[in-house]
Amino acid sequence: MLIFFSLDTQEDREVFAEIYQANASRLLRYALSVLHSQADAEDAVQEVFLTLADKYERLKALPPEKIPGFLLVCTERKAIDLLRKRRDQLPLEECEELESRPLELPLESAAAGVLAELPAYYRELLLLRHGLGLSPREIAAGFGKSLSAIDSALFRAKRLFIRKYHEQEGTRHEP
Amino acid sequence: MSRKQTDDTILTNASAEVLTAWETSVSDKNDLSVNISEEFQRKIAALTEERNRCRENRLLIPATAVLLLFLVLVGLWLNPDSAAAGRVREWIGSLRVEQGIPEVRMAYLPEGLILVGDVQQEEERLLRFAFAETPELIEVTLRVQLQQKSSTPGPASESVTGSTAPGSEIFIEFIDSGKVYSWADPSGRYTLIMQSLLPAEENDKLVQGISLDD
Repeated sequence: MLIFFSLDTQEDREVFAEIYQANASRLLRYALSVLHSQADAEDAVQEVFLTLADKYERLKALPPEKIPGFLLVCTERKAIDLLRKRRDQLPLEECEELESRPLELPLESAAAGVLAELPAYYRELLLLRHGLGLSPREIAAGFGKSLSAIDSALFRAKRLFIRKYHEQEGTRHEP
Repeated sequence: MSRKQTDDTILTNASAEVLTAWETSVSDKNDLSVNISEEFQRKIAALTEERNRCRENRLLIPATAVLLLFLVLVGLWLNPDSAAAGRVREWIGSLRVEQGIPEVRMAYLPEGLILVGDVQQEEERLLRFAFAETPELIEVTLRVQLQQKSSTPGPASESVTGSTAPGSEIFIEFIDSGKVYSWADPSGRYTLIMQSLLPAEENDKLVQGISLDD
């Protein structure tokens, strides 16, 4: 049984343990698919849960149904961050490829397709803001960045999405 | 509805669709069981405890940072090679492996020794190897993992410990979900990854001992 000392109340610890039990295996599997290393994947997932514990006060207001999506996005970010930190040991192309890797998912709408193909960081920000309804402050807490950095990145991400979406729509409607 | 409102609605709907599809794609793979090792769980508990200890002793943090910086500088001074982070040095051969794996490629990374070899052995679940030409006996602990070349990582063994004294052997057995896993793969779909968990200075000794073809 894990005891999360950073959580203040017994109730918080129990809720956190439930979140961990319900999601850790799934997140580890996803991290493995990105990092191809059990040790690295465990490190990435571990970091996600530590961040979650650290910012629990801000994030516990998140509706339960949105927690899996939030953790999935954070796991991708932690996995990519982990590789970026080791950039000097990896081929540069491999890091860049990961950052620009589209999500390969069966999607119905053209807009979702555009979103899935955005650079990973922009895609993650938009999913947290518009898919999960997190405030920029909550996203900043989850990603460990400043509010101004998140605000500015969100602005650029949304602008890029809209431009690419309208470009695609324009192409589709051309005679 | 304004253009901005329309764009926001499109973005919100697209986000919901992507999140749903993404969560489903991960959940669909329940048949691929993934062990969360006890070590992983212990690490989370230990790291959390450590961080809280630091919180309680905030005044100690600046002093610790200065001490760490000092140790790093001393380490770099004593071992200038380690400053060349990212430069992967490789050696071929010199690791004797019985019944297969005629060559093992070894890459020495700043944080540890990584041994990589192609698994070509048939129907064998025990990997046996011995270090040769080591200058002195080193107690070595390796984390070993099979990685499918197609991308999906295979099972990892528990960390194993043995001695690098010439002629001594380390046995590795892969166990996944309680089932002994046959790591051998005649088609060569797997890569065997062995990572030394030794401290850096011990790795140096190990590398000096086995890097015959530098």
